Amino acid sequence: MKGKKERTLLEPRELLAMYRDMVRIREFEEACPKLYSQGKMGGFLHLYSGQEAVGVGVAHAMHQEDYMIAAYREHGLILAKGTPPDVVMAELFGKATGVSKGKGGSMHMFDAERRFMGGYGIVGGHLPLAVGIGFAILYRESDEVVVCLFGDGATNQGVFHEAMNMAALYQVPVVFVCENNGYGIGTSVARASAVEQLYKKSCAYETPGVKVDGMDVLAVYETVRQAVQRAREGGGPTYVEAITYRFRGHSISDPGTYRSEQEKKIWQERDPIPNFAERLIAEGRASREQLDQIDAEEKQRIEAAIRFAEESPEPAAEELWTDVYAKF
Amino acid sequence: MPEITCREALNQAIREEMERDPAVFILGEDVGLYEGSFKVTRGLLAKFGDKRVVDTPIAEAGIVGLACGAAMAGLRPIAELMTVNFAIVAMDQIMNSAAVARYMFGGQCSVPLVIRAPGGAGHQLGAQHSHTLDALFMHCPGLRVVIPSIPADAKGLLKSAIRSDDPVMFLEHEGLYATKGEVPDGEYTIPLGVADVKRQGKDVTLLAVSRMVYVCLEAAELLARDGIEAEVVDLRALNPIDMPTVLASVRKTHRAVTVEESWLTGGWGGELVARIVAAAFDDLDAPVLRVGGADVPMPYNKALEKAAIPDVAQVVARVREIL
Amino acid sequence: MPIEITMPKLSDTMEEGTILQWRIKEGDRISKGQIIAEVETDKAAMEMEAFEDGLVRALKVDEGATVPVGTVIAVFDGEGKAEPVTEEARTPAEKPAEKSEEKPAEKAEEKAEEKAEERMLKRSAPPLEQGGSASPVARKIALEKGLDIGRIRGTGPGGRIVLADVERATPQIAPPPAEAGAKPERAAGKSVKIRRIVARKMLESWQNIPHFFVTVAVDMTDVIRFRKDLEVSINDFIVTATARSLHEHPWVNSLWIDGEAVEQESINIAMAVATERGLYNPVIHDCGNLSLKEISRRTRDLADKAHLGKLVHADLEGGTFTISNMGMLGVESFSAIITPPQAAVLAVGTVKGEVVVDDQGEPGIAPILRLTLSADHRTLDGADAAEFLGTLKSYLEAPVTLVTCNYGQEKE
Repeated sequence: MKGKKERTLLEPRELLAMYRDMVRIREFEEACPKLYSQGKMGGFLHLYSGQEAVGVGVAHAMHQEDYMIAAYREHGLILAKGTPPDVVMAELFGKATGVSKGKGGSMHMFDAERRFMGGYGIVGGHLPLAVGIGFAILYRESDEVVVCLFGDGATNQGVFHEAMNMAALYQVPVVFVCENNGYGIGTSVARASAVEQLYKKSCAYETPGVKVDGMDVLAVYETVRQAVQRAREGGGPTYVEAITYRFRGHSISDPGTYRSEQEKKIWQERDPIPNFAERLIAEGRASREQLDQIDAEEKQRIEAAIRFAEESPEPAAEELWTDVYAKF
Repeated sequence: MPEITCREALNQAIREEMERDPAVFILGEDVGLYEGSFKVTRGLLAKFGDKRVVDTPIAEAGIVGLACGAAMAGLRPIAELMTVNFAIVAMDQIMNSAAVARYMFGGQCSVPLVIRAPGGAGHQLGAQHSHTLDALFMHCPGLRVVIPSIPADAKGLLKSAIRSDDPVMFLEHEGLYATKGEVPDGEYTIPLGVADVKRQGKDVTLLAVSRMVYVCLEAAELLARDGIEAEVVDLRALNPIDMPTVLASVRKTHRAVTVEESWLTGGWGGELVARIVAAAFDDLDAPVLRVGGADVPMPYNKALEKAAIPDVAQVVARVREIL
Repeated sequence: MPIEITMPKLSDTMEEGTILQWRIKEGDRISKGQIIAEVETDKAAMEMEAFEDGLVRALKVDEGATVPVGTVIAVFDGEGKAEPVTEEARTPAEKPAEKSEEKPAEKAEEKAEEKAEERMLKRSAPPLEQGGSASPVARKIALEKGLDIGRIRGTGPGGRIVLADVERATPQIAPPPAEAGAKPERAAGKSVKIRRIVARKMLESWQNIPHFFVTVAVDMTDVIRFRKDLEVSINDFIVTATARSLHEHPWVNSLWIDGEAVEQESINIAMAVATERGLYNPVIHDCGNLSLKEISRRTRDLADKAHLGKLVHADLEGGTFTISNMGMLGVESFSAIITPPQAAVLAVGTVKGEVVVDDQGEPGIAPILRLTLSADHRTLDGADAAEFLGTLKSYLEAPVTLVTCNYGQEKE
């Protein structure tokens, strides 16, 4: 387990950016349940609250031209990749200005410009796509990397193994990041996987498997940075298991009653955002005022995003028929 | 014009497109060293190397998923599924990734992917290896469905499919690989979604794809002896369907019979019938009838299998019903 | 395709009927004209005949059961529609040009082919419902040409009117003056004038007269025996027997004049004669008391005159009842259209050997003739028609009654 022993050599600027990103995600996600209950959003809504350290750690370990691809709990990930909250919120509102023109929704966000290659709703379904993107990088002999994030449940899907095998076979530049938040909907890892230590699942493919504290943004950053570097240098795939926790239910409609209050409390104490704040202050890398100001700015930013989404137009009726085919 | 087999025509198409565009590559089970289960990829590994002719594990979801991702990242993969029966294993990737990505992500990505899959029945391969899934793919928006019958079409359509920016299900027939026909050398493309009248007639329109085109042509020969002139329209694609050609033929003959190899229930024939009735009701002189395979899992026994697959006699009988 | 046989409406007041007896059983092959059941209406017990060939798939109503008119009582497998009386265009007896062109040999061939096809088609789709009696394109073109689709005979599957039928058809709706000269295709030698008269009369009849049809089967054993001895034709016996029957049932010998039926004193039987020039209905005047021999002679004369084109106006005037005989054309049975203002027309089929069961229950072969009376329901009810046909049948089955009185004597 990598943890606080890691001495980061990051610039304060980078550290504050990490803090800001985590706060932005938290503010964004915590604004959603109310908006959902008001009927501003529909469909499924899987919130990222509690897992911010994973997404932000991963994003900061990547170059902007590197690809990120994710499952359906991806609001936090696309925000971490740099997509403005306005268009993410507009997508949740189903508006024409949304990141997927209002046609994807919570589970299917995509940002071609920032190389966020989409959120996917079939558990494990996007893993071979990540391998394919990695394959294309190799084919073109360029040096980008793909980071593919998925949940603990995906590791029990057959296609996970197909993807792991092919990634290792072709030595594609992919970093698999399993966000193990302990539950596949309401089923704990222990009740779903014969192997509780999910990082071990790559050993069959002779792919390095590492475990990291997913509530520690710097630990995630450091682990993923090394994996990304290995991939970029032609070392093939790495499999990272980040141990994390979602503070809310699986989705908006899940009260999360299968988890004990005690368990929730233990994880709440490990909340990645205040813990990181304490650490920054303790190590003299940021002042409380600086952080308070970031909190306030991000709060405003999300309020602005909500206004933007509110004021954005609905998609035009003809949008129903666009983008089904290249040429219609 | 040289006479070559369907197999060679497909090989030519892949070879020419790979020469033309470095983004084109082929992957699949045994496509490289083994040169393909049906030998369509013969000689390609030797010519292009293993970077562009990629042998894969037996993992259809992985193959299609990888190809889909590579296509989204700008390559033009040709994913060969050993047979269309295994496409069912990859159906999640076909329907939940390739078909929907462009739309679901608001037009921000393309999936220029060709999935080649031979299918069809008639070789006593039993219930798991005799599928024809044309209608299944046609049912899914976002997928082009292209189905050649003669060697020249196989070449021209495959080249166009590879150049298409949409995911294309390119459905071949195991029983037609050895069929010979004249095929133009070098650059030769046929636009997707343009049907071809394979035989002119004035009394009834027969609509078919793939091997059933040959069945219809034979049926037309038999009918001609009785003075019934059947027009045989080879649709060549089920998405897009060339309705203008279909309707022009039906308006001329006033009668139509659809002929498909796969199960009749929920087959593409029903879709054609609905469209014809909607667009040309006042030009019909008879109900539009369908011929299709028996709604049963394919039996192994030779006689039973034969009974499950539409044949010339059935087509002739259906035509006589409306004349 | 399945044909639903429904309880026919056999009288104006009939609302339900009782199946007295089924004459068929499941699995039987039925030919058109065959009596399939005996049905009791509110007025009488009637024989019900099949109007189509077919195979009995199921009998839906038990003997003795009473069901409302329109209830499905049996299901046949066959082609086409099978309501005993339908609104469909029929083949008017008076139009020999439109006689069935199917040769028996062709029919047999088709049947064999159908059987083979049935076996094959079991593998594919179930047979499709075939709704209308005219195809969409036939309807469209008929509309464009100003043709009344209901008057066109269908030659398509199941008797459907198809495009070819419309293209062959003559405009029956009076064409606008500008098109008066347009001449549709027709067999050479037919007189346009005659055709037009027939067309006009038949259209008027079909549109204005509520037809109903009743059929009886007559055992012709004795007629055939007598015929040889007397050197007269079967037709002569039928005309004579009809004349006698009309005498006994004068109501059938009435004309519809100014909205009511008027009984006619003299019995003037018109006979439909198909000639090269067209269809004529020369009249045997006042034949109620004529001998068989005399009727035979007059009939022959009129037929000769018709074929030579020598009929005069008087020969064609005053008919009170019409007989149309297609027996010589091999027709088993058919329904004719009434010539207005007459009240009925008798359609005569051919004599055909059939298996019958005698009083002792012994099977034997008898020459059977089917007579169908088309009657004007404004004048006659089912019972009237049935009684008239009963009388006619009794005369023909005991033809001695026709030859005894006045035989050989000329009328003074």
